[in-house]
Amino acid sequence: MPIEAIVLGGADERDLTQLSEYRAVGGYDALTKARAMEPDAVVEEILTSNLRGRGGAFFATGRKASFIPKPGQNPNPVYLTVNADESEPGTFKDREIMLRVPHRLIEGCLITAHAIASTNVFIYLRGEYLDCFEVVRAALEEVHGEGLLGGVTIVVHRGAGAYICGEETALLESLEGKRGQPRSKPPFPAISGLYASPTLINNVETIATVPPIIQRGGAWYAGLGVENSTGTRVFSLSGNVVRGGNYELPLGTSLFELVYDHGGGIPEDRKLKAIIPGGSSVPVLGADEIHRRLDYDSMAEAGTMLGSGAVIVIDERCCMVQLGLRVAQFYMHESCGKCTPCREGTRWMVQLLHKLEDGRASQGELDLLLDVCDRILGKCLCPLGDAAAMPIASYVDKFREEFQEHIDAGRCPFGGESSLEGLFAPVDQHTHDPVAQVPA
Amino acid sequence: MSAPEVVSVTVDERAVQVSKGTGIVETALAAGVEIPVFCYEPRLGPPVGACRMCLVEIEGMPKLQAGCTLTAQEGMVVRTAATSAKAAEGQNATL
Repeated sequence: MPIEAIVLGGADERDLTQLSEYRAVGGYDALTKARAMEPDAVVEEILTSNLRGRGGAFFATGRKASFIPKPGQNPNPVYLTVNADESEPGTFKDREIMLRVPHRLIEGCLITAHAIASTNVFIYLRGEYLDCFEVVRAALEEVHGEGLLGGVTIVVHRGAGAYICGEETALLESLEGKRGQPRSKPPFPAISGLYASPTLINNVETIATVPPIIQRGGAWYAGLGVENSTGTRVFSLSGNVVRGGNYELPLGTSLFELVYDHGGGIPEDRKLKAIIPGGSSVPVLGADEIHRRLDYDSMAEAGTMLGSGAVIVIDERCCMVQLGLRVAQFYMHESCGKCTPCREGTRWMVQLLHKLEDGRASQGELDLLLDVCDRILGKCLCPLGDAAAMPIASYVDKFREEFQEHIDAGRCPFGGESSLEGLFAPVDQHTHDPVAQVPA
Repeated sequence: MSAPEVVSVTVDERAVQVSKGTGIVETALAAGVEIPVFCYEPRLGPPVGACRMCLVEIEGMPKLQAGCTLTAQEGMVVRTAATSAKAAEGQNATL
């Protein structure tokens, strides 16, 4: 049975970056339909679809929209913010959505803005995504020329390369022109967000799913996928796999199907070692869990999360300590430094993992590593600390023998043969000249 | 102007009444319980919630909350490090 793409639907046959082509496949019909509906009816339709946030937290989109005060309840304007600051290692779905179906995103913005009675939309775009910026801007100009905006202003704001600005409150701070550090919640953005006004923040994929839902009905969408995880998801498949890339599949598809049927398996028929099912910040799955289904409940049962939908395949050549080190270095570099457990804990983790990898660690230091993870988990201001502690703790948990071997042998058992050997985290590739050069 | 609304809060099993919106750190002080703080200094500005020293357990909330940024609501049951192992562990993590 061919799998129908919803978010990326039609993009294989036509160049949907052109407004005329997008219109030819029924583009902006959903907007016309939504504008003829009452705002509450639009929210109701999204509630019926059971669409849940695609950014990683999996919060029900309709419920989130219903938290926004109705006109007259709050004197401040209502803002819609689209989180396009996709920076999770392994995730590249929003990029493809923006490059190939920018109009579906814009249409989703306009429909959602109508649903929450907002006239101001901000798209917070990851700074490195210059190509997306060009495409979205060109699409916006076309839409503006056709007069489809209907009084709504859409601003594309480019970030400056901080992972933390993908956290919703840090994103709002950054958008306001302040330092990108998370705020403490409550108050939640739905009540006091951007410029202390009610703000709805949604991921690109979530917003791009709204037009098909309005067009074909929430009940239709709710019939796709599995219970509690309806619809499709764009999975970013990467790592040691033959055909990496974005695959839009119904939720509930098994990991096996994604990796072996769609992704073509592991090159040279090497053995599978582990799978990261939702981006670098979620706990890892072992090779024996390949038949798990990719949906919210199945993943929760396996002790992990669907996260941002980035499936990273790891084969037998990979040293898990090196993997942990790479991941920890990333979070150390991206920790904003505001709250103590994350700022200090990520540095401790990197130092301990360095010692482990070099074979200098004692038995106590492995326990200390787990203790540090425990001291971060659930005690930070924002989820970045958890995102660092959860994977590292899971690597130790699931591959304890390998960590133990590093201690017992006093060196990496892979002896320089690991697939990650010599690959440095981006933070290590930064060069800093320690001495200021005075011009002659 | 009407008088501020008064709410009843329990801090470490001691009942206390404060006006709504009082910070949990002050609420606890009113109940005779001290929540330690590092980064909170009301004379310097609004609370930040950064140091995580003032973590407390609130019944009905899954995660530990920062006492400085959270405000008192009617019926809130607060457990500080003195009566909650979870909160003690949270504070200990910062040290």
